[in-house]
Amino acid sequence: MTPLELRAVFAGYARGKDVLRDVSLTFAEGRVAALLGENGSGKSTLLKVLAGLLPPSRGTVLLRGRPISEVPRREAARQLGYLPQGFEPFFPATALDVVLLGRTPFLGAFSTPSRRDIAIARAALEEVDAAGLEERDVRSLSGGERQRVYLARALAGEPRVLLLDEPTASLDPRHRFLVLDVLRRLATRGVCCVFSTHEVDLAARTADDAVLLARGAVLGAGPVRQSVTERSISELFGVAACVTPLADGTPLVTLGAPPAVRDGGRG
Amino acid sequence: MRSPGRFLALLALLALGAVVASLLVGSVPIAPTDALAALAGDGDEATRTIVRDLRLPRALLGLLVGGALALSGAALQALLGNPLADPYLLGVSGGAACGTLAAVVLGLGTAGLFGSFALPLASLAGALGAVLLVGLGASVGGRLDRGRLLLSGVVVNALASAVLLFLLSVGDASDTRGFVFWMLGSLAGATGDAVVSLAVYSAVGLVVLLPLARAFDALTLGEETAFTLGVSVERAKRIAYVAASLLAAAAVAHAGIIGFVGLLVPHLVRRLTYGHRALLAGSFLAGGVLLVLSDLLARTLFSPNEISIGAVTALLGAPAFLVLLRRRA
Repeated sequence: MTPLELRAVFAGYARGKDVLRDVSLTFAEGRVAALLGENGSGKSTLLKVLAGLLPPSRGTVLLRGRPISEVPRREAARQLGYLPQGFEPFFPATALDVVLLGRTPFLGAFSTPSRRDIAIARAALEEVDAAGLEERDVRSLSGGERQRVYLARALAGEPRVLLLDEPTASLDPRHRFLVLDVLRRLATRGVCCVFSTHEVDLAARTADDAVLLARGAVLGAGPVRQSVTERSISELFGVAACVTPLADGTPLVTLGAPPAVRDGGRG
Repeated sequence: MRSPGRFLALLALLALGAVVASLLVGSVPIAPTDALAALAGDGDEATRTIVRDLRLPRALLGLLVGGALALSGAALQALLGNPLADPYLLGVSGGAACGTLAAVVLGLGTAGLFGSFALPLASLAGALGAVLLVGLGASVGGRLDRGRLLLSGVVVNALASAVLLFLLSVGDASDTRGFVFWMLGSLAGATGDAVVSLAVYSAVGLVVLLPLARAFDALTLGEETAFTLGVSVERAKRIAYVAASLLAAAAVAHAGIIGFVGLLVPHLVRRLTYGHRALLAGSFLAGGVLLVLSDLLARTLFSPNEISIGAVTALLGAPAFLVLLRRRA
């Protein structure tokens, strides 16, 4: 069954001012989808609608075929993981405590995390190369370290659908690749991953599918090899784009390359 | 580390110790054996009066007022996602003061027995009025907005100050002198009835707030993340708002405006334990301990004169808080 589907969705934050306009999309099991678009194009809004955080003003969001508004909160929380953009922590908590919060949908009001919960949380930290941060106070972590701890928090819920808002922002190159590797691994386990990013090159090499958003409408969607083209990317971002297919067919995207250089140059 | 049982048991012992100490220590020191006899209804009458009618209600009221204020602060900090929130932030203190002073100016305070019931009721009514006003200002489309809640509280407190000044200027000075003492906080008026009334408020507060501990934990990651973790965010916020306001209002009604307990205690407890279950229960106990000991200081430091307990908590709390803030950086 399709994990997540949008049917003719309009959504926004104020009455009569829709940010997303007539968006219909399906996200498949075991695939990684990248949301691409300029600032303010509606990527975060789309992720919020998919997470059930922002009810659409028109249209429906289906989680495994059921309207998400009709799925009990706890049940939805067990299926769906969501990582918002950078969040500044105000309260003291160790990284492990934070990751354990990812087990919330599986815990009763008065039960404490079991050994299994703790093992899952530790494995999640391991997965994002943050095992060494376990006992550190999250407030003392660097932006990139915190981002990985929060990602581990989302992983600890063992979601079938994982929504991530700019998961690679503020990460160094090594951890950027590591996080994208995590998404690929999750996809091989059947998880449906959707992430937004400005890093078109990384997205094109990691994702199976791309969704191109411009001013709240879908400009194009589908397998990366078809949707990420010089024309679509330069139209989307308003900068020159150079797309070279690699040996395995994945596109290598370079932005801002002047056409003169691409054509062989003038000296 | 993750089981708060031992931590809470230690705090409960401390609370018991503080109550016992406040039974024995004072302008008339009482030996433990005499105190026990007095509690059992034996011994000479003077000792019985001091222990059973004066010190015991006062110690128990202190325990409950401190507990209610600290519990209220802990819930409010969870609700606002702000470790620097204080129970008085939402207009409770200003509203309670207005209600009480209005009753005093209208002459209700001097009406003997009636007065001892009327003043706490007027205080509670004033506090709830202010809380409603703050809530009204902070609701956006049926949701409580965290940012607006803070601003709305500040504005309502400012309004309350204006009303207070107006009432003080039109009131009779001989009537309002007692009010000023009340405003600084005191446990001197402790009675068995007050203890029972506050015990009920505290019990309800604990019963309502403790099941929300897991939701409060999730809320430390922000409202959106908490929602996606399956938490009924709006429900948790609304319950926390009502419970925190009621607890603070009930405490103020019986003991006046005692500052710093609601701010300082949750902050302190948070350093010693993790998770809102331990934080809520621990704050309740630690707040009680702090207030009973502060009251002990208030009535013994310049004995036989009594200083205001609000002055003691502020004198202890402000420097302690500054030290905590410096260490945190």
